[in-house]
Amino acid sequence: MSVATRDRAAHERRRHRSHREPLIAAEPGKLRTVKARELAMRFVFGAAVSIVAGLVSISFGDRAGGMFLAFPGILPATLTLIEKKESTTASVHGVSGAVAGGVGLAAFAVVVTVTAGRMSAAAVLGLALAAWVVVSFAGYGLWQGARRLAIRSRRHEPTLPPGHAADVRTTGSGV
Amino acid sequence: MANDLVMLAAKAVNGGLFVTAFALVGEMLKPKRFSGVFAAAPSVALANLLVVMLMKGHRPAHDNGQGMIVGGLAMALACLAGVVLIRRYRSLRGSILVCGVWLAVAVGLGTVVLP
Repeated sequence: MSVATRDRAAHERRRHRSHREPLIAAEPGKLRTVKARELAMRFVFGAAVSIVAGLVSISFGDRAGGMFLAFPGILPATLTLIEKKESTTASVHGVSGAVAGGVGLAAFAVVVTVTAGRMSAAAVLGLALAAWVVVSFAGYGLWQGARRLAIRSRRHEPTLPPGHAADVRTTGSGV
Repeated sequence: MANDLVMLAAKAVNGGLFVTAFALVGEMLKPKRFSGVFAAAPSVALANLLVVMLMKGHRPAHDNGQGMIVGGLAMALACLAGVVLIRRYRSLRGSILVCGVWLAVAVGLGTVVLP
């Protein structure tokens, strides 16, 4: 087997391992590895984004301020921590999951727009949060399902061994 | 003015607490793609809207919601760009660029769509 073929095979094996990971899982034990400094950083970023959104509301109105409630200000802290603890690839996976979360944010906002003024604050926010959960989890599930199907179908494509008839045809050699 | 400052302080503390809580939930989830969903959790929105509804009423929250629809869509698009940006520039620079993409998309879309 050539070096290129061996490298390709190793890459495919790594990719196929990822489709055997559970779609959703929890490891409560990981909370023990969280450092106080990391929590403090998250608190500060959360407070900062809230202040920015509040200032935008005061200066430019509530609709403009509302946009900033979905500002990805916490992403740099989250992703740099992931990269530090794991790898850049893990960080890329993290941001790809955030795409589904972003769509969920739009669904959250639609529910707030429709229900605000018609029910209590707790009901509005509870329903909105439920909408975020449903939409973002469904989006994540659909995307992961499609990705795994694509990996499985690529895995079952027939691969031509060296010296196959096609190679022989190409080279014109019949021997 | 004093009322605005009190509200800002309440939003800041609440925002910090909610973001920390959601971050803890995200920490214990796997795989990384799934825990990444929680990087776009409505933690700041929940914290801020709660303060707004309790202190100012539901009308401002309704308007916040309208703006947030645009912000949420911009977040999804920016994170999609982030898959390429972070692979190319790594997490710190890549995620700052993601924020830049968000600003461009949100402000552009918001100018067109929001009354």
